[in-house]
Amino acid sequence: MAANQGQFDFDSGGRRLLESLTDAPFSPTRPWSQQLTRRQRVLLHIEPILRLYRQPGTRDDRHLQYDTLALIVKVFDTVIDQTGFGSEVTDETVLEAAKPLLKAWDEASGNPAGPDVHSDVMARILAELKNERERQEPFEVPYQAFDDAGDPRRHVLRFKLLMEQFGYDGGIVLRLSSEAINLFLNAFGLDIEDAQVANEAVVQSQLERGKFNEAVQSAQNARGQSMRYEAKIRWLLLQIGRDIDRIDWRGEADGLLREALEHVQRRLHVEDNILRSAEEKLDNLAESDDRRPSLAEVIRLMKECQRRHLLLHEQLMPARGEYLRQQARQAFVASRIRQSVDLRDAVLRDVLQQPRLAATELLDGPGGMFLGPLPPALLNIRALVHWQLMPKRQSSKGLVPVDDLELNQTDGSERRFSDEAVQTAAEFLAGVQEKARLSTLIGSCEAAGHANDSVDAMILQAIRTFGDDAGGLGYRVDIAEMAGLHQTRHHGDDVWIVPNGEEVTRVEPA
Amino acid sequence: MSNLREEAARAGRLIQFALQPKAMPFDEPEYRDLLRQYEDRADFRSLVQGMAEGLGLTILLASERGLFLGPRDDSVFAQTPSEFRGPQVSGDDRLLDGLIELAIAATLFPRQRDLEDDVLAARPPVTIADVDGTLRELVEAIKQQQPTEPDADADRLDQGLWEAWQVYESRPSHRRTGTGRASSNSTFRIIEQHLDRLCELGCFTAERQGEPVRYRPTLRYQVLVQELAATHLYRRVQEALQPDGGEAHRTEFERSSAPGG
Repeated sequence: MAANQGQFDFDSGGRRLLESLTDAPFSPTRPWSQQLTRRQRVLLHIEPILRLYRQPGTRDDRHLQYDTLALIVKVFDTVIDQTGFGSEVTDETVLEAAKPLLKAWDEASGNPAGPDVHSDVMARILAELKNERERQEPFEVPYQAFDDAGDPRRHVLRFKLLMEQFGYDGGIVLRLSSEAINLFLNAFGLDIEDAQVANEAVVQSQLERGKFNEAVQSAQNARGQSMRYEAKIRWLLLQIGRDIDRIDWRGEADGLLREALEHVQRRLHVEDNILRSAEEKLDNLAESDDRRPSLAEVIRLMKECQRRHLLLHEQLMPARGEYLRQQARQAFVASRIRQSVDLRDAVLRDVLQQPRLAATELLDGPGGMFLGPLPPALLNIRALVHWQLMPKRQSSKGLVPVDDLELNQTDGSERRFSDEAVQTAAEFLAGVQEKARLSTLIGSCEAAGHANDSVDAMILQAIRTFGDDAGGLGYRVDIAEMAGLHQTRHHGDDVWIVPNGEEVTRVEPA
Repeated sequence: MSNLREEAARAGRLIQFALQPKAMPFDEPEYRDLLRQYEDRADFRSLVQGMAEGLGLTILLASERGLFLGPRDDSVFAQTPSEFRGPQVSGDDRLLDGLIELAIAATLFPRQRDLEDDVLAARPPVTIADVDGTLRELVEAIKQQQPTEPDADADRLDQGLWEAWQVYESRPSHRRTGTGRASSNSTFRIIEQHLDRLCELGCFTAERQGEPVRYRPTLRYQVLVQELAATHLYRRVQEALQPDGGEAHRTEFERSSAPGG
């Protein structure tokens, strides 16, 4: 391909791009085509922006001098332009970028507004672009189109515009969705790969023809497309990693990865040629030439594209081999951990309908599911000695706010077991109909689903009754077998629980 | 031998960074370097994975934003929802603690597709009322399905047969003490305690500049829920509900790695 050799030409992707711009020939027998549906969907993406622009209810009187659409375009531009390696865009970054525009409108209207108004205006625009009203869910735009049989069909287009993501420092940063980048770069309806090829070809052409100012704009587009492609590859790797069991690996995922790797390799090659050509031209320009800044900007932007593609290349290179190896071993960690789950309606709802004891065991069991790993506290002798040698803390005299205690908070006695556990244990022991070993009762109690606390309380009650020959609680306890109790959590002498009226068989110690 | 020892020390160091909830590769060049080695070198990666496995930890995600771990059931690093309240809690309090931990996650990820989203996509913040609302809404829906029998609830309470939703319903959302402070028995107060605790553990950050306070999940929490906890709890619930012990919900890997499998 010519483009691969660094000369201006469209490669196969470019040809596909040109072909995609040509609609299918009109056919009287087919009044609608899927191409029209695609174009319809392109137009629908502007709907939330126009709604924000036109809706009077969201425009404060103080904000009338500002043009919402211009501010939205500025937001998009700031996020694309300032997101890079080592720099992230936050709400504050966007506000700073928009301030000169807001001030210019203030001056032009003779209605100066303070920083609070500026920040309110931008907060409102950012909130709308993130769709905060719907908890940052995708926008949903209903539309109608026709299927292949010519029947009308209702559809809903779902897409995001501005998203919040975790940045490198753990903070929240702004990112444009793929759709928003497309909207901004006028690249809707094209495959991202085609759009990248086209953009880079245009940069190359403009450089060859000395149109450096135009090349800056094209390089910015190429940079935006490289961000969009990065998001696509990240998503691809994530999905492959998660759904390796469900994917037709040989036919689909492997092919996708191979294509992606080849595409990135081609981009790196083309970008290298663009950079070499641009740097050569820069060297040949006089120091005073006013085209130098434009050319330097093109070089900066293309270097960023190249760096992004290099990082993608690093991820894609080992990905194929690694995933194939994991699949061969059928031990891909993510796939054995993850499963599609409806946390609210299939888990929380089910748990809520469980009996309280069963639900408690389910939720308060081991695993620390929603808390993450936490290192256990270890005894630190040095810290302990230091604490013991500390001077007595001065007691502060004066007024200290005291919380009102409620009746149910004033239980002064420190008890090991809850009332519920003690009652369960007592009921269990009172329910013994015939002589039984404590070890047997422990097993029955656990099998009945009683909590560990109730089992422990039962054992302690039984031990406390040991030697009470009067059988005041309705049963007596006597030794059954020395060191004969061997349970998971309990060891020691096994005893008989004998309901009143039954004979006690005494066993002499071994 | 000394090389192996140094490698092991580096692997341990990386796990130590991962166990510190607020450590960020962005701020720690050493952490960043160890992560790069983890990504670049298969032998080092294998050593870290083996060490984590021995400690009862699962590596959920390794990226330039950090190494994210999850505890296995038998790990010394595992905690229970009620652990931070100490041992002096009633059975119902333990239940509420568990329900609230689950409801916080369910409020952030209410639908299946939310859990399948990219972990880097930050979920919007939640408030205490949002979490309480999730639970009250479900409780109301379950209540509507129940046959209405006068005094049935009291009888079932006497027999200790209440279901979990009834325990939650029995607690008020708000209650104030005589001095106007939030009562520790109200569900709002318990949710607040849990969210504050999650903030201490690096799972949430609190945005306190406005009313009400908004709690935003961190990447650590999202990875934990999306990559481990949701599935783990789902399977546990299915095992409890299904007559076959949830066999149908276990993956091929789990079946083959089970004793005798």
